[in-house]
Amino acid sequence: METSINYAVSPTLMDTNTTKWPDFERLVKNKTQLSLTLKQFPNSKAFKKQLGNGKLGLVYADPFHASILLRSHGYWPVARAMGQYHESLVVVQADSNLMDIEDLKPQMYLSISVDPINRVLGRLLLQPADINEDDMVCRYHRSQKSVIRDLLLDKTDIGVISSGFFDRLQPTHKARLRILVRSQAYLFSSLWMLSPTSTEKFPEISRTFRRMHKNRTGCRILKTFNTESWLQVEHIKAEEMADLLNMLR
Amino acid sequence: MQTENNNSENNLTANHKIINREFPFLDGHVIVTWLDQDGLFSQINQSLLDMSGYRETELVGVNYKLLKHPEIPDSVYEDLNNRLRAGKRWKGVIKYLRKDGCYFWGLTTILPILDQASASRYLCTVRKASRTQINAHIEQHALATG
Repeated sequence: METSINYAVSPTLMDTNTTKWPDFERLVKNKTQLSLTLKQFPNSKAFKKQLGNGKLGLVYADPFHASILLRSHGYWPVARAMGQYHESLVVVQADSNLMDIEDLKPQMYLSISVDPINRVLGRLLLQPADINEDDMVCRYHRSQKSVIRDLLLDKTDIGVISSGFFDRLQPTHKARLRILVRSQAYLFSSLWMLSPTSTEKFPEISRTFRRMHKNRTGCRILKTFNTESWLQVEHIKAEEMADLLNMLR
Repeated sequence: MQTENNNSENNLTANHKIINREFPFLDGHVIVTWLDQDGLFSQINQSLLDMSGYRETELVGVNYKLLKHPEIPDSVYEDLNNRLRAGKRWKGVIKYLRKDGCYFWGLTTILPILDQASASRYLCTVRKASRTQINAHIEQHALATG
């Protein structure tokens, strides 16, 4: 019997490829008879507000939202993308005289996106210079593009952005920037999370994710997520990620 | 976490050669380990292997004191254990002993994961410490600076 649920994606994970969602929905429907409807939110604040209202059956959540869904709303982890971890970079202009993280000084200008994972990783990266956001003149941005703009327009000394965003920059922009340090934490993954009201669907949904790489359509969809397959996530592993995030925040 | 220095724990480092050379903490890395209630490594990540020079099979199931540098005074571990026993997190700079006898400094945070009233296991992260933090630690504990 066909049933339908709403699903959503953390705004930090929404990219410009909007065609992947209908393809994804069709594949899930073919395999599970589950009709998915994408709910979109303009920003993380609006998204976070909706997390506890019980109306989202399935969520592709960044690590921060996944922790909230797990701990506060009883969602179950389903899958994560193989080889995909959130990492961040400290970036300067290519001709900056800052050569090492330890060259950073209090009262320098820092541009950073407000994404919580980026801020956690940014804090880790700034730690060896014995400085944190409180010691710097901070420019907070909702979008990582604005961080790059600050750097290119010489409005900041350093920027902290996700490595995924940096890797997708145009070569002309990349050429004007230099990476001071890149996190290699391999700690935080985005997770597909299933609502406690939809848990009877868990076996089918989990199987659909685990087998997605076994057919051509599935492989095409996986490519749009920059991965080769989804990996099952044990509950304890999601709990550990939440503990770690809580510890490092 | 077990606090007593029993013979087997002392033996962990007794046969270790000590080389007075610092191994620099790898930029951007974070060591993450889970310890069971007896202080044995139950899970480790690649950064710990890279920084310690051990293989995974040499660490899992082994007491964390394998990495205890003999220059670290017992008072540091006493403070650490007292806080953890009270269910509180501990944070500080620790000098670690690598398999090859060199050492590395790490800003260490240990969090007891409470199961009802007592800690069932511990989450430990180690990050690159700043030179200021390392120097303050050395001064406080009057260690040989190397």
